[in-house]
Amino acid sequence: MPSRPTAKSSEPAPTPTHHARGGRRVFVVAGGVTKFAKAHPAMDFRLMVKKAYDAAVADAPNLTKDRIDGSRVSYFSDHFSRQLKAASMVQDYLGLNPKGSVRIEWGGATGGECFQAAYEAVASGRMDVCLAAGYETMSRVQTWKGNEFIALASDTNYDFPLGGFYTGYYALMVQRHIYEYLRKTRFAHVKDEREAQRLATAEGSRIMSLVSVKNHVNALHNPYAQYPKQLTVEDVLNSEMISYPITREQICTMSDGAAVAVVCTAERAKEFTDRPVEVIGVGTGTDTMRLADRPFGKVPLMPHESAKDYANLDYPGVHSFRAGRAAGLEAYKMAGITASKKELDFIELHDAYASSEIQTYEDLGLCRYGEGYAFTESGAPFLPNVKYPFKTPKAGEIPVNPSGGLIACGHPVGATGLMQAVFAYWQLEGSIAKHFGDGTLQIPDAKRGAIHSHAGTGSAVTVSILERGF
Amino acid sequence: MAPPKPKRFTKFREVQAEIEKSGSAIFRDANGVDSLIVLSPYSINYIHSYAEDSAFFLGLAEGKLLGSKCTGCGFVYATPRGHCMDCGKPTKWHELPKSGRVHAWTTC
Repeated sequence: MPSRPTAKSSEPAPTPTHHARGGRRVFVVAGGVTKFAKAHPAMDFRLMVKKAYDAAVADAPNLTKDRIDGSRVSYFSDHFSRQLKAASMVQDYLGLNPKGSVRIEWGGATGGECFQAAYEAVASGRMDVCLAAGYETMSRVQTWKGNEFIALASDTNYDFPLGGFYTGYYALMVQRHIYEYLRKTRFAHVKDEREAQRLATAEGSRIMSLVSVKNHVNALHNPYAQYPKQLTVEDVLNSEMISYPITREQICTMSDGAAVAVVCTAERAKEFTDRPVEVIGVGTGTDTMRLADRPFGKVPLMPHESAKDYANLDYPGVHSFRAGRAAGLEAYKMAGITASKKELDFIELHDAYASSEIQTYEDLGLCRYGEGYAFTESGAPFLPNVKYPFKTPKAGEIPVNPSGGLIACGHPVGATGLMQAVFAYWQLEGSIAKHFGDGTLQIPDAKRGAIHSHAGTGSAVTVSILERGF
Repeated sequence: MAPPKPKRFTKFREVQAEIEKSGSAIFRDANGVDSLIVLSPYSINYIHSYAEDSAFFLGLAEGKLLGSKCTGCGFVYATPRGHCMDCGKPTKWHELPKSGRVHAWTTC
């Protein structure tokens, strides 16, 4: 593409995209989730949210209903429950009327956005205590129809008619990622183009399988997870091919489930818990809905990167998520983080596909763009005390998806980002053993973690940073 | 005489199959509580207008591949849009070449 004309120097400087200003300090003081499942036919969305809510307040006896000022309620698709104003019915069932409430929807990032909406309600001074509640009931339609509903979150003129299947979009994005970062590097010496691409894709598939194994095996210690599995790389590679090169075990599933988190001011936090967790940074980023509109520009740099690292890289194209980079930069700036890999103790990120987990390592600055595959192989995002069927020499450097992530926990869209918030809250509270009945996944002495929620081919991403507040 | 008691299903898969067959099923959960589940059809015909994108689709019928070119900065969009996302000026329809390189692909 030709380069675009730049602004003339006499024009006023553009307004910065990301201010990263905080308001009042905001703390998480309670969280609850239902077990995610293929189907909860005996519970509708109201009852699922109520169960997650009851689990949350059971941990904070002073958090009675009259102390909650209002709510933010999230679910992704009206189609799944065929019930408009379902968020009002959640508010109603919880008995929170006539307090303020609003429904949040932001594609796959719905849950992450709901968490930040509750944060904003408190940071702005509008509420002292806000409930963030989310759910999805995806079992109410057949899986193929569910896939169609999800794909409606793509441009219905241009992209939806080409497959109309989200796995296809992510598969072609990772194909380009593999081309940029494996074909042009590890397989640069292979002269035959077809053979070079075949080898690079095989290598990429193998490394994506490491991520799938990690998340499924971690989930063996998480009773809330939908699909904990003892898998090998071969099992993942040999599972059904869904969209080349992505196989069945590299993709999250549709789920029924709910999650809630309660956030409040510093003063109120003391009333509910002696172990509050502060939200010290929030960020969101966006990108074009149509993949073909993604520009070929420059990388917005993290402190450990320099422009010359990416001199020959057209960014983001379809291989990386510019929205994820923008969200990370904003959240890190607000939290004062300059070296995410060192300054975070863990990350719960949106691994709807094993490919997007690797792409997100790079977006969030855990390594440079192009280093995601080597970073995975190094073992850095693995847990040191969990046994995987291969070597993970740097395990524990920055554990990613200790809970099992979306791939193993499930992805009831409106609940997912809140599930991450709850798992991160429990990590920082040091209560994984209490809540999971198994302390294996507890990151020892975890002080600070990030959660990351991702929508529609990377068209929107939220990142929130949580820190122990005691 | 009391009508026969309908069968209870304990597996969701069986519920799905029964609903497809008879239109309803009763699911019994681990606590012995029954949920009535019915088939609820839903169909809709949208009146979908391609609106300002129409020329692209009409062009396909004439064997033309139309993109759009910004009247302000001259940027060419292969997937057309009515206004430039960079400078905000309107675009004009612009015929694209019919050969190019594949940027990314998948089969699904």
